This record gives sequence, C-alpha cells and structure tokens, in this order.
Amino acid sequence: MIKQSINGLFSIIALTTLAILLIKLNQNINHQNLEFGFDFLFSQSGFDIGDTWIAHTHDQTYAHAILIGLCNTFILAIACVLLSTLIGIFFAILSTNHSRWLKLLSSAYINLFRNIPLLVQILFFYTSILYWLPPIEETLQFADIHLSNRGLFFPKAPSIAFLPLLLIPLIFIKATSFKNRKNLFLGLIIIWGVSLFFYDWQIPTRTRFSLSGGGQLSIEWFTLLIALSIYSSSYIAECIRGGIHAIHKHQTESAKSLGLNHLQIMIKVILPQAVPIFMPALLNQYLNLTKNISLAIAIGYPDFFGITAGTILNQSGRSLECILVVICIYGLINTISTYFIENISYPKWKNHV
Amino acid sequence: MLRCGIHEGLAGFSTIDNQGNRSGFDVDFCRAISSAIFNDPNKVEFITLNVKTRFLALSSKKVDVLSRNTTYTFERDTALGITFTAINFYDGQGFLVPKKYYIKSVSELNGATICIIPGTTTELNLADYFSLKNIEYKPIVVESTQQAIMAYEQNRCDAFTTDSSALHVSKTLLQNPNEHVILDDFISKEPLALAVASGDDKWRKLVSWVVWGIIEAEELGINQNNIDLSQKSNNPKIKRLLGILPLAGADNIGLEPNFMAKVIKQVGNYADIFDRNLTPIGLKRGLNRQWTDGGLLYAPPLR
Repeated sequence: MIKQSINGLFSIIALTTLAILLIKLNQNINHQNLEFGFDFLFSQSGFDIGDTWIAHTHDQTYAHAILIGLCNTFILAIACVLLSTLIGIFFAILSTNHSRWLKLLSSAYINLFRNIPLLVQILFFYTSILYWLPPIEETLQFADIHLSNRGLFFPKAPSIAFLPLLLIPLIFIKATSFKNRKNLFLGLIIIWGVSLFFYDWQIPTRTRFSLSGGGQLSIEWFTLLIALSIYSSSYIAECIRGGIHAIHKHQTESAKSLGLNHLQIMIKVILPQAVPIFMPALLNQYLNLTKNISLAIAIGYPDFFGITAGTILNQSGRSLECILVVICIYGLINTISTYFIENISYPKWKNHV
Repeated sequence: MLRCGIHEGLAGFSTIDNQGNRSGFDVDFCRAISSAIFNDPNKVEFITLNVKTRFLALSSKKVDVLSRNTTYTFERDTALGITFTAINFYDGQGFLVPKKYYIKSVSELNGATICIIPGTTTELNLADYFSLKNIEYKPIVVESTQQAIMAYEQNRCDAFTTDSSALHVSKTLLQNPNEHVILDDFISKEPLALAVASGDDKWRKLVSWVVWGIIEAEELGINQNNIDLSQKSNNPKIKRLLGILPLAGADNIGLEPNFMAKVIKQVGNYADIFDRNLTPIGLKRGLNRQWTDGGLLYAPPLR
C-alpha cells in the first residue's frame, strides 16, 4: 500500500515537472520567434551521403537520410556484436584457464582496452590504418579484390543472387528433425553457391582517382568494427567470466570425474549453465555498443547520430528538433531492448537455473 | 559588457594565445562594437560557440551578437529567430587538391572522393554543384579539421573542400604545402555576416552601422595611424564619419555621433583589421576589396 502511494507520488511529480518544462519550452520558442515543428523532415535534404548500404541522394528527404543513418548504425552494430562476442568468449575462457600466463595475457588485454577511452582507440586505429595500408595507386591485390587505405574493393554479384538465402529461416522453422534440417541447409548452400557462377559480377575497375564498380567496405567502417569490437569485447569477457565463476566448482569436479577434458567441460557443462547468468549483462553491453557507434562522427562514418545531429542539424539549423529526434530514437531502441531483456529473455533462462 | 559569440578556434578569425588574449578578424569586429558603445575595445565577454549551438545561443540571448564566420542565408534569416546585419567578409567554397593530379577546375573532379568539414552549407553546395554538372563524387564528412586534414594528407580523399578562407589556413597545416594547390573556382557564395537576435531594431542597426562605418573608413582613407590628422580634414564625408559634422540619429540607436572615431582609433578600419589578421595566413583581398578597386565592399553612406 505504502509502496503504491510512493510510486503514485513520484509519477505525479515526474509528470508535473515534464509538463512545466514543455510549457516553458513552448513559451520561450514563441518568445524567440523560432519556428518549431518537424515538417522540415519531409523536405528535400539537398546533400548526398557517401558511405551507405542504401543510397541517399540530395533529392531525397531528411527523414530518408535519418533512416539511412539508422540502417548504417544497425548493420555496424550487428557486425560488432558478432565479432565482440567471439573475442569476448575467447578471452573469458582464457581467463578461467589454469595456466597463469594465459590468465595474465587475458587480464592484460581486458585491462588495456577497457581503460583507454573509446574515442582515443578509434582515432588511434584510424590513424594507424591510414598510414599502414597502401594508398589507392598501389593497392594490395588478390584476384579482383583490392585493399588500400580507402577500404576493401571486391567483385559484387547482383542483389537478386542473395534472395535464395531468405529460405534459410524457413528451413529452420519447417524442418522436422535435426538431420532433415542439416541436409536441407547444406543442399541449399551448395545449390546457391553454384548459382553464383551464372550471375554477372561487377568487378572493381580503375578510374582516374579511385576504383569504381563492385562492392566496397570503407576504411572508416573497418576502423569502427575493429575499435568497437575490441573495446566491447573486454567488457563482454568480464561479463562472461563472472557467469562462469558463478557456477559451483562441484560441476567442474563432477564433469572431470566423468573424464571430460577442459574444453569439453567448458562447452558442454559450464557455459550452458552460465549463459542465463551473464545474458542480461551481455545484452546491456550490446546496447552500450550500439550507442557508442555515435562516436563514428569523429572519423567521418555517416551513422545515425552523425547524420541527424551533425549534417541535418547544420543544414537546417533546427538544433532542438534534431536533438529531440536523436533522443526519441535512442530512447525507443533502448526501451524495446530493455523490454526484451526483462520480459522475454530473462525469465525463460532463469527457469533453467 | 558586450557578450560576443565567436568561433572556438579558426586561424585568422578567432584565436587565443597562451596568455589568454583573443585575436582575429571576427574578434576585432566584437571589439569594434564595444569601442562604439563603451569607448573601450575590451569590454567584451567572448563566448565560444560551435556550429550546433551558435544560432540557439543567439536566439535565446545567451550572446548579444554572433561574429562567427556565419554565412548569410534566407532560411537562417527567416526561420531561426535571428537577423543578419552587414556582411563583413565575402567567402566562397573552394577546393584543395594535390598538384600531382594536374587539375585546373572543379569540374575535373569526376569520380573523386572528397573530404568535407561540416558546418556551413558545405555539403549542400557540393551536392548542388556536382548534380548540376552531372558528375559523380563520394563525400566523406569529418567533424574535426585535424582528422580531415590527416585523412586528406594520407590520400584517403582526392580533394578537400570548405570555405576558401579556412582552406588557406588548412593548407598551411600540411606537411608539404607546396605539393598542393587551391583551385581558382568557387562553387558557392558565402557572404559572412554578423547576426543578432530578432526583434530589436535599434541593436540590429547599431551593429550594421559599425560594420559599414569600418568599411566606409577604408574607402575614405582613414586608418588607425592617420585618424588624428584626419580630424582636421576638410572633406565633409570624413567630417560626418568622425562626428565633427552632425550625424543625425546616432543617439536614436544609443551611440554618440563620434562613435566611428573611437572605433577607428581603437580597432582600425577594414584594411587594418584584414592586414592584422588575414594577410599573415596568406589570404588575398580578392572579393573583399573596396568597390572602387573592383571588389564587393560597398557601404551605404554615413550621412
């Protein structure tokens, strides 16, 4: 009863404060002869974006540019989540090893990358890669794949070639047994692989300044992938290590007495029990990672934050509106993720413990 | 105290030395306004603003005047609660390219990767120009000037674009400035002007007329060195500028009739300000010559 009234009281205070702020904001906006509104989002943006998965040109709207930025952010986030988790698991397992040297190596890695600010790491990797890789005139070449300090250039099949891959989820849903699923999956991959030979591939060719045609992954994208994955992996390793340590050592001892080796114990006994323990913390790291992508602006990768609170804000002069868009979208991403963590993932795993 | 919004750091326009003294073209215009009002060029509180906060700081009256390399455009003048005053610098968007490409004009940059410092209307101009010429390019927008210059120097991009004035500064920061060249063509008009918050007519007029007075002083040949001698001049135009002959209406905008005499003595005329700040970084007068010399500086008469 008391708890409910306190909750109610706090809600009222919060809502009143918010209402006062909004009224005040509205007054000030009128007072300063500012035009306030989000209509401008649907007018022509007037600028091009260089490095995107879906093209944005100057005759498309600001709203479109924001979506393109979100798309860039999400694809980078997914790649970073995969890579950082792999590296994180690797160092977590090292740190629970009996060898003192491997433990030391792992803790050195974790402490080094956890303690240096992310922005510094991004700038360090960017500068090093720019100096280290050759300029575009003298690319490192393997067949039709070129690597230079502008990025990776590679032959590209038309996007229609990737459509069969959409069947994969179908296999996982419809297939009845594990064996059935495995055969279907392998069959699909082989047929798809062979089909690739029949498409017209776009091959990067030299132009006056650069290489054009084919696919391209820019050096900024790689830098962010590396820097963000390494930084996050040091936190992820600690999360996973915590989960592993939470499993009672009887489990290890019992497994040992059954004759399992260290790797088998880890993969078959410890990790399956540790996952529910470290999963919420891990998902939090993924959220942090997604938000950290906003540092991309420092090296010129057009992510959601850079496009909205950088280019669009500068272009239109609508600082308040642009920052509100950024706040709302980040808030939305986080609310959805938090809901997922609390209501979908966590109870299900908790019951397993 | 006059609260003046300036750039965080742009050589020639707004810099700060290790004793904390500010100098620069934009800074001098703040000082000139202070001279006109207070008879003292140092009654200025400088507030550094970045591209994102500048207009909001002005419209919410956190600063009284914005003297920060700001391009005068329709949308900014009408939709942001601010009003532009007189134009004090005619800039344009230019390009820095390595000499090894033997490029003479911007239209030869077909297919090039171009590094951009965001801020003004840079990206917009670039898109407009290249779509009009129907040529392709790939923009890379880097927030910090240092990173952009580094990327350009490592050949991450083939050209580097921003306002011509800032481009001259950037060129001096390169390791081998002689291997690079600034193209002659501008792809945009960038008239830089001081701005004030909307709604205060007197204040807008005061700022405008100080700027015009500084330009007029150069046209009439009065500078910081000869100001005392000029007091004895017989030219009625000079006499009005210096407040010896009555300048009706000055007190309506809160100024004494001899406000320009104070400004010229304490800060200087347009040439004084330009030579002190921009000539050392390699900028030529170009469009910023007097109309009598074929430039665009043309102040309404003070009478």
